[in-house]
Amino acid sequence: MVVTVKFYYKLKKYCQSEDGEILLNVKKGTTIKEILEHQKIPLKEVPIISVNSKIVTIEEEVKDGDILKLFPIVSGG
Amino acid sequence: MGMNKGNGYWGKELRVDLTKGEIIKKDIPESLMKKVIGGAGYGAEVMLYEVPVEVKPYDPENKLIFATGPFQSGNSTGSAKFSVVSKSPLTGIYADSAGGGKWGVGFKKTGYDSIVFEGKSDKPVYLWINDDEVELRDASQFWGLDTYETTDALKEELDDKKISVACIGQAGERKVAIASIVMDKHSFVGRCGLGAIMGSKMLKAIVVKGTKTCSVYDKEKLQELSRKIGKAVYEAQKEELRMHGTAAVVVGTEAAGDMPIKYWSGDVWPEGAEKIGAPNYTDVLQAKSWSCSNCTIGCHRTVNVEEPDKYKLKGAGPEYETLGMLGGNLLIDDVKAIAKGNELCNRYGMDTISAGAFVGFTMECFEKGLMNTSEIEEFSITWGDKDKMIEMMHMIGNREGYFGNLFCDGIIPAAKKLGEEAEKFAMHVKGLDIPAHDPRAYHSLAINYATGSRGGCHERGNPQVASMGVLLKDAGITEDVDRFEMKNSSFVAAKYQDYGVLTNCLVHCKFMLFGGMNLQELLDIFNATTGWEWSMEEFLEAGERIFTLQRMVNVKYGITRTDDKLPDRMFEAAKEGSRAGKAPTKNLFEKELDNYYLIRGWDNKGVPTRETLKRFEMQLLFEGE
Repeated sequence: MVVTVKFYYKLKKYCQSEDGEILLNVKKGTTIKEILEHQKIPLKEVPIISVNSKIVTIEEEVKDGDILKLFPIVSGG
Repeated sequence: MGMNKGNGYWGKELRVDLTKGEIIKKDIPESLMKKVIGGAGYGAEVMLYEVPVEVKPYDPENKLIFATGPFQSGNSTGSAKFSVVSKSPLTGIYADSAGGGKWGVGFKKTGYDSIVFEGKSDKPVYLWINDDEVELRDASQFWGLDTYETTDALKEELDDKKISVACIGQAGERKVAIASIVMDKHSFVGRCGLGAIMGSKMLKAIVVKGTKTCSVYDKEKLQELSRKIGKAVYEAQKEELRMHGTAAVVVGTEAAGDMPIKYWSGDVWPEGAEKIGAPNYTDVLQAKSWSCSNCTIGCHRTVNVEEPDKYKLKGAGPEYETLGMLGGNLLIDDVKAIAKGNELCNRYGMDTISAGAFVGFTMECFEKGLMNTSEIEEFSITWGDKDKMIEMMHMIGNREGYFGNLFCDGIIPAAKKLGEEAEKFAMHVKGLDIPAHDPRAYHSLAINYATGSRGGCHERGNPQVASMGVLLKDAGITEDVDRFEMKNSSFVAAKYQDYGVLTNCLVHCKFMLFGGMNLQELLDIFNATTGWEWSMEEFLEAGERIFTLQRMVNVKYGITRTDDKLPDRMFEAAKEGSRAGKAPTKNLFEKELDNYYLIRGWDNKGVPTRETLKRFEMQLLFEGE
């Protein structure tokens, strides 16, 4: 199954694609934690994750067509 | 040779008596600047010793101070700022607000560090400063114009494109308590109603044109430091703040649960944030970078909306705070409508944060049936109604109609008029509407907001950045702070408040922090400018000292611990989103407040102790007892 992963802000440095978005082929039952580890992204750098716009934990299992968004902490003025 | 051996100060200020129409040039000794640095620190000193408690904000005896610091002499990156200080008509206490653009450095080039206005003119005037030529001129022909019209009219009248204009619009003229001061249609002394103080004095504008250069201590060193930092912040921010402005952070702040949603009662709004934040913001508004003087980031935006006709505009675009307070706060996801609301606030000259707060408060009042008098019940604005939001901006900015009259003195009297239930959910601290950063997303903001010098403020103390790796290592914040940790949040809040005070005295832009600039580099620039060779300890102590000075102004004006509080809603956790189940508790809040007062050297009522005043050489303040 295929999921989209979007990397936000300074996490873009972990993305293989310059536009900060990749498609991944994953097995059924794959968790977000497994995806992060596979992409070699340190877990503590991704405190906020959403799947299809809902905030989830890293234990969440992804489904076909899911859109994952990975966020660091950002703040503005 | 590189060395100038100056100190970044002229040592001169203008004292303008608007009642008598007299202008005096006053000497300011370096010894005073070593106590207060400049900017907001100098303003606090004037307020403490020259504006007694019985003076009300709109009384002629209230003073309005425009103050630069030493940094405005050096042209380093991030130094295009200045502070304005007075007793606020919104809160009744100390207020300072900072502006950017080119006015501050422009004013410095005229040969003065500061201006203190007092009295009240009997007709509209503007102050013209062209080096040694300083005079009050008739502004009757500009009275009634909005800030953009005023700026253009003055440039045409004076036939000079090199002038820099700080002016008020209708909101300031009509004494709307959230009125702002607008510089060159670009930058805004936004908060606390300082524009209304100008209006109360019939002061329409201050126009500056200067050709002089104020000497710094080591010009070569300063330029070297500025080049290094300028390059670093440019590299760090070229794809975020430079490319998209503060709209860059919208999607991330909503994801963090930091953006206000539905007047702080909502939890999440991801689709809305994607619509109003970057990159959509940049595409839809055709947004481009607009720099302040000498800045390598250029975070401000200029935008262009061509259709629909009702939102047509060209000029300064909404920043994050406005996107938060007119967007998520109101559930308005049309970025063009938000840009229009922003433009109206800019033109009328009023604070977008408070204006957005008033609209959100109104939406909730209607929802709860608290505005069902025959006078207004048909207006019935619901969440997301962008065109009624725009109608409200017109009313509030002009001080007309039901909302113009309801909100003209701020949220406290407005809520009081509507009753106890409304007072309970009015989201402010000391009368200053809470800005677009949620203390439930960053628990250090709880103490920060409650104890801030001008009310609920995310810049007079910006501890939220400690959770994103922007640390103050020299002040003892050496590791990322857990954003949901209340324990020790008093220490975190205090240190970022001290940093915040320093930036408002120097006067310097905090966004340099987002380019990796640290306290040591800030101190290096300070020493290269002044030649004072302060240690880090002296530098940080100055921040503590001036923060306590500001507190003494507020103590004089009647502030105690009972005012250092948050609205109840800030203790109610979200049900979904990244801050679900997490909110400061009142119990921990009180414990941390006790600890905060200990850190500050204040007593349990929030009043600086004699020992603390002695430490900061302010013992005169209790010798009179």
